[in-house]
Amino acid sequence: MYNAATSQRIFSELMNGRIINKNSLDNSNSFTENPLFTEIIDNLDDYRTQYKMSGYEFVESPSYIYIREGSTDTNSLKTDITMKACVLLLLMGKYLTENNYRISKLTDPSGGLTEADFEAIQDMPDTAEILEKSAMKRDFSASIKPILVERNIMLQKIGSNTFILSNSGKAFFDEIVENYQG
Amino acid sequence: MKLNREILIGAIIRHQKVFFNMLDYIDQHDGSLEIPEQLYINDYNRIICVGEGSDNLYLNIPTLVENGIFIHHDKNSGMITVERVIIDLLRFLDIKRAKELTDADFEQMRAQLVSAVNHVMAQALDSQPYTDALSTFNNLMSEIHSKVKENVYALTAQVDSLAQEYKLYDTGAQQINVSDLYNKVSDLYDRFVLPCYEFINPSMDMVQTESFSKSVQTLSDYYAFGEIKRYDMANKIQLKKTVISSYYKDIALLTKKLEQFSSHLKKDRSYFLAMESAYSELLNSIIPLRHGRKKNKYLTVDSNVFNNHKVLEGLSSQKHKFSKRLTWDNQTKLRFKEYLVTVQEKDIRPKKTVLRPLTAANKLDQDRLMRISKILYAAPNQTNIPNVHEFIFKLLKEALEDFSLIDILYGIEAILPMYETKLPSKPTQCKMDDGIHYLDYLQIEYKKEPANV
Repeated sequence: MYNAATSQRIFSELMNGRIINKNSLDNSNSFTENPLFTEIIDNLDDYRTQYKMSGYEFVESPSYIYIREGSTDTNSLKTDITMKACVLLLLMGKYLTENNYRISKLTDPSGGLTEADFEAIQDMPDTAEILEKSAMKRDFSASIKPILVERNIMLQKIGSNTFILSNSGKAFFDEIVENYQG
Repeated sequence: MKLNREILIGAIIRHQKVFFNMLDYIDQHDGSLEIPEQLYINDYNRIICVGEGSDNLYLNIPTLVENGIFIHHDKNSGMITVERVIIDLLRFLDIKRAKELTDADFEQMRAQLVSAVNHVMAQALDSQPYTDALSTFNNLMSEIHSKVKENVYALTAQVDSLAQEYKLYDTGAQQINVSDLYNKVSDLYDRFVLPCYEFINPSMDMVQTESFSKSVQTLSDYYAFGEIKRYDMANKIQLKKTVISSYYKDIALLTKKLEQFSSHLKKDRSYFLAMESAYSELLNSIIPLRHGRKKNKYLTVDSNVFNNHKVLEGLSSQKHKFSKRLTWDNQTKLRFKEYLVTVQEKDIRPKKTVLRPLTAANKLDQDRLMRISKILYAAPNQTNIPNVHEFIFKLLKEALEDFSLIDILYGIEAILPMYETKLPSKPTQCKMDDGIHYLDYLQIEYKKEPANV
């Protein structure tokens, strides 16, 4: 049976265009089970029906969930947020390869990108042009919060200004490896 | 100057750095034992001549050539050929510079051994050719033992050095590139470790020929199970084979270690290459937008570069589209009917216009002022005008197609010299408008005074 209080929180998260990840960070900055994700998985059929009836597509992945407008047209799946998130994540990925960092710097709770890293990304030769061409008027650091953190693609570590990838952020990089290797 | 070899070797060992440089040059080039004359002269002047004692006399080029350390000095090409024994000695001194055996080296050793074994078995027992063949076989086994042992030491040193680099990489040292490290690990594994591993692997099977282990086993069986029954020989041969094969465990450990490094690095390298590829696709998609024009200069959501990124597709805030949602079929008339119902239900009210006060600073052009004056002068003479503003309003509105309230202001100015107006005893505040502007004014009137006769 679904939990009415948790269901309202889930509704608010999904309607605001946020992703519900399988894991969230606890107070000691370790990955822990996200109660919202667990609630959905335990009552998956109910939640599927709820959003299907409202005209939404319930996007289910093993590690994250979000909703999007129900449509068969692939062009309508391209949104401004998707585009900007892609650009910001690609810039982060380039920063890691450029500086011989391992991907675990982005995914491990003991790692993370700091403000100094964001400044270094901003200083990379092509960053300013890429941000401008993607219609992002603010600098890299200022764009991270509304586009990636607010939507739970990145998580802010408790008690510090350091950010790591959530399950959905990791999935983005896993997809890159799958699509571009070899 | 002719010198005893131990003196020369002593001097070489004292200045081994100079000779290691030579060795590095040989390893970095084609492997032939030749070095440029200039390379040696530079080191000789810089290091050997600076030191104390007579080493500068022992180690000059003519002395080394005369005593066979350098076997040839070609003054035309400026190259010096070094004696192999010295090279082997240097490799023996520094295990990191020991030359790893390649697939070709192992194949050469295996072929020689198979041939020696066949030769031993083909000769009549205890004949002179048999003794010679057996001696060749024993020499070959000793050489193989020595080479395999050196090779295992060299490979262990190489793997340890790579392990250090991997450790640094794993702790996040930025100077180590994952691709370079992966290539080093793969190179060491494929070129040197795997051939050695296969050479001494006892269960290695080869098509149409015999492996090292099988070949030695054949000779051992020849002595033990045939009519010969020389068990001591069979034991000796088994023992030699076991000594060489025992390095199998060391090599297996190195193989396991390298496979672990390779497996971890492969993942990181795949990520590295994929990321570089995805990023360059993004950069390439920006190049056509550098045209300098004002339109179409931004990436759009439907740019091809985003086709490969489907993970976050459709992510958007849904709250601003909070209306009712129905999945309409495009062909249905229901949508139109629904529209009509909505329109009928909607209480449509005319838009309420808000009048604005007339701006005091408005000025009319000269032509219009003339037209207004003419309209007023042309009007019939009045004897009684209760509201002068209203009188002008009516006149001008009828005469001017593009009448506006501002025309009244000039009309007042133009009519005052014609009629002697006055404020009534009780002034009344009135308002008039033209649909856009309004004008508040005090009512003025005109009454023709009766003439006093």
